[in-house]
Amino acid sequence: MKHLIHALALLLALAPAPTFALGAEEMFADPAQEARAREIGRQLRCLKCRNQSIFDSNAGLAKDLRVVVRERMEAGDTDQQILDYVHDRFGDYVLLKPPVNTNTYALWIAPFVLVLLGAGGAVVYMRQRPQPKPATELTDADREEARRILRGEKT
Amino acid sequence: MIFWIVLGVTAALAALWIAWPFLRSTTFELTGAEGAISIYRDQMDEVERDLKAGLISQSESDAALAEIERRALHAARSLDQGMAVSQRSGLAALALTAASALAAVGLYMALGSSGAPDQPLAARKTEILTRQADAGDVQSRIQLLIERTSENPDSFDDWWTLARAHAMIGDHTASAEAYRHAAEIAGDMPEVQSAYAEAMTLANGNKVPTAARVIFEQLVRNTDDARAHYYLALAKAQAQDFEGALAGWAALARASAPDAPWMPLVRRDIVNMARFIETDVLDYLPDATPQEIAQSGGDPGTALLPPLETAETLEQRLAEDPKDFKSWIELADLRSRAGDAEGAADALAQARQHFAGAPFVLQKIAEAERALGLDLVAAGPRGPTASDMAAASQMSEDDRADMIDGMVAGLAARLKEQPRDLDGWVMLVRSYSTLGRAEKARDAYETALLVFKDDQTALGVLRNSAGALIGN
Amino acid sequence: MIVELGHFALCLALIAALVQATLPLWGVSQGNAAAMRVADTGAQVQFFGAAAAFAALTWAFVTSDFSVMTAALNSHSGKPMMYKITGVWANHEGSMLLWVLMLALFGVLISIFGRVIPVTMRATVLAVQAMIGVGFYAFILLTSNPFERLPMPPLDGQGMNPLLQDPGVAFHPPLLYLGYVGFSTAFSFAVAALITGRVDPAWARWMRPWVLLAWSGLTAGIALGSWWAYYELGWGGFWFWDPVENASFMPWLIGTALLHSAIVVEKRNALLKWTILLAILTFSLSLIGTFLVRSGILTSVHAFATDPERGVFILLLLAIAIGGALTLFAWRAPKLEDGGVFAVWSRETGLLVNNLLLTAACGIVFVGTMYPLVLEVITGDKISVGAPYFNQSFLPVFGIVLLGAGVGPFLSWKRARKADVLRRAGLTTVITLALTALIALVFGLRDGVGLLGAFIALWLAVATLQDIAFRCGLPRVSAGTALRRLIGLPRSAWGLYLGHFGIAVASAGVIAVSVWKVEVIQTVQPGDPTQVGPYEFTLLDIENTTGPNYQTSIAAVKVTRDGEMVTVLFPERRWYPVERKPSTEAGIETLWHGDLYAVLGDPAGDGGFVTRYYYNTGVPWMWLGAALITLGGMVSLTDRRLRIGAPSAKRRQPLAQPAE
Repeated sequence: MKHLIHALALLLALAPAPTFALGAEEMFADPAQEARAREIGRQLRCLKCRNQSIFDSNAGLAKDLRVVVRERMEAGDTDQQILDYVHDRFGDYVLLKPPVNTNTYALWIAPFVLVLLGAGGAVVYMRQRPQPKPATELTDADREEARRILRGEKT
Repeated sequence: MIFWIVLGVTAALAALWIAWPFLRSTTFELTGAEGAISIYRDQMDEVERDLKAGLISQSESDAALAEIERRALHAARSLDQGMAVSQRSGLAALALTAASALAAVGLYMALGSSGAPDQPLAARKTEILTRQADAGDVQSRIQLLIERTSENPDSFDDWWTLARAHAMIGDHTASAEAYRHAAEIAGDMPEVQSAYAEAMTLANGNKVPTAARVIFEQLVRNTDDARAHYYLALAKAQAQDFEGALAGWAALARASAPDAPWMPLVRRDIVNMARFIETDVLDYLPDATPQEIAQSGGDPGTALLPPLETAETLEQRLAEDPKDFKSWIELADLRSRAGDAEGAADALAQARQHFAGAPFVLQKIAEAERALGLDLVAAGPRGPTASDMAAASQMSEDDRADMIDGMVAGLAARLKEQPRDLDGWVMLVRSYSTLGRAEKARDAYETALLVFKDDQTALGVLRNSAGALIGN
Repeated sequence: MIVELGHFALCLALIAALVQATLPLWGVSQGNAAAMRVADTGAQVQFFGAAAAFAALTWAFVTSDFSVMTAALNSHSGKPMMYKITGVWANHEGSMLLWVLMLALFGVLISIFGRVIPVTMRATVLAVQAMIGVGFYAFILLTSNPFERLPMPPLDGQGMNPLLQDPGVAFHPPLLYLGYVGFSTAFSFAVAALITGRVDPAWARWMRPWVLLAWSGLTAGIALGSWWAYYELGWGGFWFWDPVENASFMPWLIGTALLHSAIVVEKRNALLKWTILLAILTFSLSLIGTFLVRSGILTSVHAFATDPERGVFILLLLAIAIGGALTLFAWRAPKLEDGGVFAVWSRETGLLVNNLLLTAACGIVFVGTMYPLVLEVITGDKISVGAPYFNQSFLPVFGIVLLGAGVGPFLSWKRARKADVLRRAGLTTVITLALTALIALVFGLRDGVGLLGAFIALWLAVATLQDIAFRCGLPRVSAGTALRRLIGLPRSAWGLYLGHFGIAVASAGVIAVSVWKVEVIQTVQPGDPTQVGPYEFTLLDIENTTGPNYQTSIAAVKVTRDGEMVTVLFPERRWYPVERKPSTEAGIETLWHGDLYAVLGDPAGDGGFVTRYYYNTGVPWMWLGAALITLGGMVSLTDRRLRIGAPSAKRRQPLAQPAE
């Protein structure tokens, strides 16, 4: 029976229902507590939204996760424990800031590599750029012709 | 035809325009350095301006000018000074025009639905009204008939049907008007006259107007039209001649077969009138039932009010089986029509409780609420919450069963409206079989097989997951 | 008939594009000017076809012709007229038609205003432009035909996502496409340069107005999209680092680099290859953006289409266009020679560094956007890359770009005097530090990150103003002279200053709202006051009413400050019965220092309502900044030297044109 409830709960939670999310019952009266909940919530992804955190979404699932965050807070968990709790249940996908592991080494290294590549590119370019040739002085005749060209006269 | 002409002319002109360069007189095109040099001119200007503004020194300016000159010279010497020649070529133009036009038309003929007319909604009004009328929408049928009668005002049938349709939705004024047209066309047909007079009466708030009375009287003289008799009696009652009215109805009751459709109405009026003038109902209605006798002498208040019969039946039915959300909505509808907004809101609130775990049904309830304007009356909390789910594990066995019933009923209702949901069906079959309702599980399974009969993959999934559960 | 003529017009456009893509190139190789000129007429017919097709589809939407499948699926007879029209491009088929219409528009503009461009170059550019067109016309006609007909039209259409029924998002796609598609011109110029082997300052100048136009459109489009998210999604957020948003942001970053690098080509004949590569990359990212959004590889509000057939087709187009261009680049670029010589301390170097940093920043966004997709394809694991990642990786790099943008204009071309530059940058540092300290003291701000951000934004603003003063000769000359010089500054300089100052203003806004906004979410009873920062919000009452195609509850929220009335906000909660979807409309009052923002939530049962109140500091600056940046682009565009098609006014003795 319990299994069924969970199965149904999952199924029905995924069914589209235009519920407006933030209910009164899920808020802390204490602003500091509430701010902390917000801070944690901003790290968690609403699983069926665009890249929105559970605090930036109207979806039902986001609401459920907000409730979970608040319940864990009331149970006295630390921020990290709460994130771990949600992470354990929903996997990496729920964390807006991906964890560092074999899957994401490349992701986390990429910014450094890109900036280094840019810097390297700049250095290489500066070294290879055309060096000032000994200025080939134009003859007076050449200058005269150039001026004429620039004045728009037909050569 | 016009379509093909427009299309052909467009294709030809467009293709001709593409090929136009081949038809122009011989021209030369510069491909040379002039464009590049104009830029150096601007740079020179800029250097001069900066020098004047004191942003650069004289030596910087000289160096910059020298470089610009060098570049300009380089550009002028190295870039080709060539020209491209274009020559008139009728043949090329013709070939290009023909090829382009034919290709465009050919491509269209392969892809398009040539000749398919535009079907803007405005032009489809009649068609849409017909389809809605066929689906049982009376308003659409009326719209349609109004159009038909305005086009063809001599059709008795159209006026007649229109009058009846108006009557059906209770617009008796319009109905009377339509009957009048019908009566004008039909001449002296008693049935039409009688219907017309009745509609006039109903439009007049059920008070028989003089014009109608005249018609009824004429009908009574020539025919035995029951309606005429009834309304004449009613007219008497309205003219304070209660005895006369009672006598008229009693005569009608005697003359009619006991199962005539108007008999319940006539009997009711006799009973009410007998009570009103405190006379013995048996004098006028010898076969009065004991109930009628009681009513005719009993409490005058109750009998006059139309009883909330349907609402009560619904309540009873819902008391037996609360898992029927449509009935709940219907109940709310009935109550709200009876002016009992709170009762209606209460019905929806109860429904919400029963279907707390079924978002689809909750959505339906919310819609009904909006439709009835009840969301202003404010209801309880809406939507299932995670805490509801969590609370389910601490519920009593009964409450939990109730919540699950609600969820399953909601799922079934959703699948009825949105059947192409494979997971939903599997879940429904599983739910029913877990709850031990083998019959329902089998029904659901078979419906699902029907829904997905064209989809082999889905059928496979169904057989593997749901089929096993019910022993298939 | 109109609809079918529209369908035909689209076929005609494809054929015109086919001719335009082939014949002119043959003409270039043969020296046949008539064949080259077919590029112009082909572009004109192609535009006529695309415009007629678009008009016909609009007609179908306006008259609610539901025999057209696109209209039946995406429109509804009860929609207000404005959303019937904008509904044309609020769906896959229509938006692709808009895409090619924009493409054809740029083609026809080049054919008309590009008369100064020599015919060989113009023909090559237009031919490349047409090749892109052929691909997209084929894509539309074969996989996403907007003129598909229904034999049995439904009674009414299925409506349009209410989130999209909004003026902000209605005009977001056309502007965004103006940018995306506008960069196709840069691509075409780059490929034409590779084909003809001609890259010189003239080439850069011919290309630059188109890049500026596209870039300005993209800037406005992104800002409009962000603005829409801000007031329509109802959470006070404006940027989610969502793949769809990133898809438009990446071309913007690289496009910004291209804009700057093209200046170097024009002024100094340097960075040629790099500029060509940037042009190719910019449009490639635009194509990738189109692919990401259109293929259904992402699922989000914006990504309407989910047909794999389409995805594969676009992927193929992408491979041909990007792969082809890059191959051509690898083959031909080594033969191109950079001309301009410059020292380490020079504006060229500055712009090169700016370019590389912007490219690296774009690369970071690219990696963050594509990583989850690639990872899922390879390992099947799903991860999210969200705001925290981008804030940590992208923002530092972008911060350096902004610092650089401040001092870049101090550097002079070719060889800058190091001591001068350092002296001026030192002055910038001192002024900025003083201002930052002042702000910290006056407002009592202690947030380290916030103050760093404020420093960067102020730095850019101060440096920009400083450079304007310098250009005017201040403080050496009299105020009158300075003013005269100020007015006399070329439009392109104004473009630079407006753009840079706009970035500074927008950054200040982003920092202010991220660090100092106040957010209060709670259930209130009508009449209860709520303190939000220095403001007091009071829910007065709620009125239920109906709009043209929705039902709505409108709340009146009074806002006071120290007892003084400030404004009344009217947040709404709407319900669209046809689409069966809710939407929120935030109540917003814009003050110079921030927005007062209220959102109405659900009734709470006891007569109260869930409300979200915000005091969003700095948000108006973001929009102001974006407007300044766009304005900067437009002002640059009107510079005499770039004015599209205007031949050099300096031509004292007109070149005798051979008779035409």
